[in-house]
Amino acid sequence: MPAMTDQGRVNAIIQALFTSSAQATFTPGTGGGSVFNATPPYHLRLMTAQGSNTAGSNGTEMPTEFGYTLLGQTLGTTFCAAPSAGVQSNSNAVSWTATGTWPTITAIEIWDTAGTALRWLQGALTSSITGVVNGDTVQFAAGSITINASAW
Amino acid sequence: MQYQCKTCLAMTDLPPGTDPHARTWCECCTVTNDSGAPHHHGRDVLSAEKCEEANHPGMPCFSPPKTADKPEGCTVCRPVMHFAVAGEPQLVSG
Repeated sequence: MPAMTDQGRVNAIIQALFTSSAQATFTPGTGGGSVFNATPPYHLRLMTAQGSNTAGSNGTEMPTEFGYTLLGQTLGTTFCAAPSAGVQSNSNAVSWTATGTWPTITAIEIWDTAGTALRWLQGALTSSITGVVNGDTVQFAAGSITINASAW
Repeated sequence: MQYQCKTCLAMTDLPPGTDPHARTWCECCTVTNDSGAPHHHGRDVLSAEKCEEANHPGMPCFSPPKTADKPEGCTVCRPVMHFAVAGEPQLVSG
C-alpha cells in the first residue's frame, strides 16, 4: 500500500533520523519492540557491488586503497536539512582524492556511527563512477543524494 | 556523469561508463563542416596525429591528450573531478 502514511508523520520520522545532529533514541511502548538509536554523524560508503535493502544484505564496499578508507567518510554533523513532502537531501559535500586507479563504484550505503554501526540507507548511483585515476577527485555535491519517503 | 577539469574548471557531461581519460583529442575536436564532413579546425581528421598537429594554441580542444600535458585551450584535462549522483537510497528493511 504505497503512499499510506501521513506525510507529516513521515517528515517527523525522517527528520528525527537524518536531520538530528545528536543521537536519537526511540523507545517503543510495551510490545513495541526494542529500543533503538540512530547515531550521527552518518557516513557515506562507496560500493563496488550493490546489496539490497534486506537487513544484512550489504553491498561490497571499496577496500581501503587509493585514497578511500573502509567505512567511508562523514556526511557532516547534520546529514540532511529538514524534509519537505517526505523528501530530503544531503547538506554537505563529500569528496575523496584518488591516489590510484579506482574500481567502478556502482552504489552507496549510508551508515550511522554507533559502536556497532547500523546501515540505514542503500541505493544505486544514477551512473556508476568509472575512470577514476590518480589525482582525480570524486565528489558527491550537496544535494546529490536524495532520500524520498513520499511513497511510504 | 558530470566531470570538471580541475585546472580550468570547465564542466562536461559524458555518457555513463565513459572514461574521461581514455578520450583522444579527435573524439571531441571533431567538428562538422558545411558539407557535413568531419573537420578539425578546418582540417579533415584522419588520425590522432593529425588531430594533434591541428591543435594550435588557443584553439578549443575538449578532450585530454594522451600525455599529461594540457594543450593550450583544452577545456578538459587531467586530473578531473567526478560528480556522482545517487538515485534514491532506500531505507534498509528489518
